[in-house]
Amino acid sequence: MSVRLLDASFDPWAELAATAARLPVGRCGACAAFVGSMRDYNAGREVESLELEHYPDMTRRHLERLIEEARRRWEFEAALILHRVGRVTVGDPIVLVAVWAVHRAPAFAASRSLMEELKRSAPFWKKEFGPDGNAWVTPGGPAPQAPSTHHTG
Amino acid sequence: MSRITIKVKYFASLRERLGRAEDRLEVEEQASVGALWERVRGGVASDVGAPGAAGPPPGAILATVNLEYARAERLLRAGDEVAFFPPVTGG
Repeated sequence: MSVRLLDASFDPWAELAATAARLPVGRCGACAAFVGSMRDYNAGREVESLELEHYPDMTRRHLERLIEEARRRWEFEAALILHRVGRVTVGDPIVLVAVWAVHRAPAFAASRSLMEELKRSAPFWKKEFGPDGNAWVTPGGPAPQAPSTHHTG
Repeated sequence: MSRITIKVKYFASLRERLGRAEDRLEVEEQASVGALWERVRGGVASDVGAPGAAGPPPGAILATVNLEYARAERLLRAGDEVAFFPPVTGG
């Protein structure tokens, strides 16, 4: 189980490979991963960069708690949450959530749930900078519910 | 009633609006998170809400005590660290 907050750009694919290389060979038939990256627009506004603020004492611990809670609902071998803090520019990965499991159902379900919980409750805040100035991002409507059963979207 | 000292932190748009990141305050022992918010809110209209299943109520301010989400009714003890912040926007 691993949670890391990163203040510089990261390569999610290299991180996935590095974690996979540490798992027992042949144990996990499934890995489900989500990578969220920074778009060049949001809510109709052009955006050039973001400042990602967090609550240093709380954020890591909160994400670790989300993994512990997911562990009580699903069986999986490993989970990884990486999240950027600080200045993020267009195209940069912001978040990586990945779950390795024996079968795909818990891998899909746990990774989806971790990502939705992160969006709902993890203490991060985005401030957008663009040609029209800067503005704090506000949550855009209700978060989608993580499906509780199989769902291939 | 004796008085206790607590630390209060503010984040993101709320920190900018209040013009400070942190306070160290004396409050009545057993004061609630909601009462503390009344004292520090400085004209901010939002009330303290919890992040519910569909996210926090629009415009709500979220509160934590000792790094865990807390409701407005939560009572404070000496040495608690309270934080107030707007709905989160990570990911």
